[in-house]
Amino acid sequence: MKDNTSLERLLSYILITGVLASLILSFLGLVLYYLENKLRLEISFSDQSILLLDRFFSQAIQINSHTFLSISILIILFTPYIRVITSMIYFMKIKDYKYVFLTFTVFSILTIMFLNY
Amino acid sequence: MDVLTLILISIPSGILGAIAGLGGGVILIPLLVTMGVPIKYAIASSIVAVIATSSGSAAAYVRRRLSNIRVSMFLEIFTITGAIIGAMLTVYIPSKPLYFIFGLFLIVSLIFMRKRISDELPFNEKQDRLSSWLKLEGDYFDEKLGMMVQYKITNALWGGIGMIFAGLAGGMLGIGAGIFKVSIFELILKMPSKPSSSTSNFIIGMTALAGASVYLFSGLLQIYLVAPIVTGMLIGSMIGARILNKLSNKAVRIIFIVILLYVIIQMMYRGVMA
Repeated sequence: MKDNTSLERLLSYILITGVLASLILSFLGLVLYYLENKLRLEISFSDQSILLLDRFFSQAIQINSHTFLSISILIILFTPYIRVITSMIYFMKIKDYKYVFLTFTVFSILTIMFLNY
Repeated sequence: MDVLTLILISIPSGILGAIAGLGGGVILIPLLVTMGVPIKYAIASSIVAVIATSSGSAAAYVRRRLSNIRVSMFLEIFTITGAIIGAMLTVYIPSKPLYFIFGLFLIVSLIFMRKRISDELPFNEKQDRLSSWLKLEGDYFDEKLGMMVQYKITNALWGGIGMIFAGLAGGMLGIGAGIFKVSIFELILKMPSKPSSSTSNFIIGMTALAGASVYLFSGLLQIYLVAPIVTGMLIGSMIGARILNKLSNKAVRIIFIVILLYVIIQMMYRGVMA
């Protein structure tokens, strides 16, 4: 059996980095929300609290709970996408072309899907 | 409803999700709806939470070689394709028969899973040509058994077809469909319980990403709802990932069967009420 250990270690680092970055930003965002909300933790639903990519990227970066929590959610959303790219590069490096093809197919399907939006 | 409550109810969902190989959406959505969260926001939040469970638990599973990377890479193509087709078909197909079709699949899984409940490890399976060509095999150290376990995957093609079905279920019902994936791993691909749960966890992040992007671009992600849920699920999934390898395969299967039974009842209820 071909040894995948370095790929496993690499993917584990990527996943841990994504998870920890998201957790830290989420924690900071929730603390800011608590302070902005006059020390209350109740939530309500409004158009302003929706995560919209175009609105997020068109606004200047502000230090508030919305920014921190949006980045935290985006990191979690795109962590699997980054791990596919990493796997593809890894299989290219070890010249395992069967798995380059498989990972490239997954990467292409996801990319086409994102671009369609 | 407040941030702390959301974090606290998400932690057990993350733990159970990580152990049973599910995203935890099937547990979380009914809880959120009961708390008064509109169903569309509950589903959208839960699908992001599935990615959180997947990444949180897979970080540990991959390092311990419990998640099988090659099996995941091969099957992801099928499950993502199924998820995208499923999401597109939802508009055209009424939901009532769907609950019964997917519910029936789970009942069959339950029957076969019950038969295998006391098999600690699968017998040495003869690999078919495709599985062998794709090198679909693996090993891991089982902490409960105190030994290295080697296994070989078989029926790769049928597993792929099964994953399309799991993807369809995920896309049509707005869930990560881990419950379908674990059944396919165990019953078709003949994978041991622990790698089944952890490889399912690894893959569902990708299936859920396909679904989550739809909700992201449709403006259904309420950040003050999603963020605490994701936080709780991440914490829960990291705890769950530490527990899994200490359990016996039989215990993992029993936890899975209990959740399976709950999902079947939920699905039939929804089918009747739809």
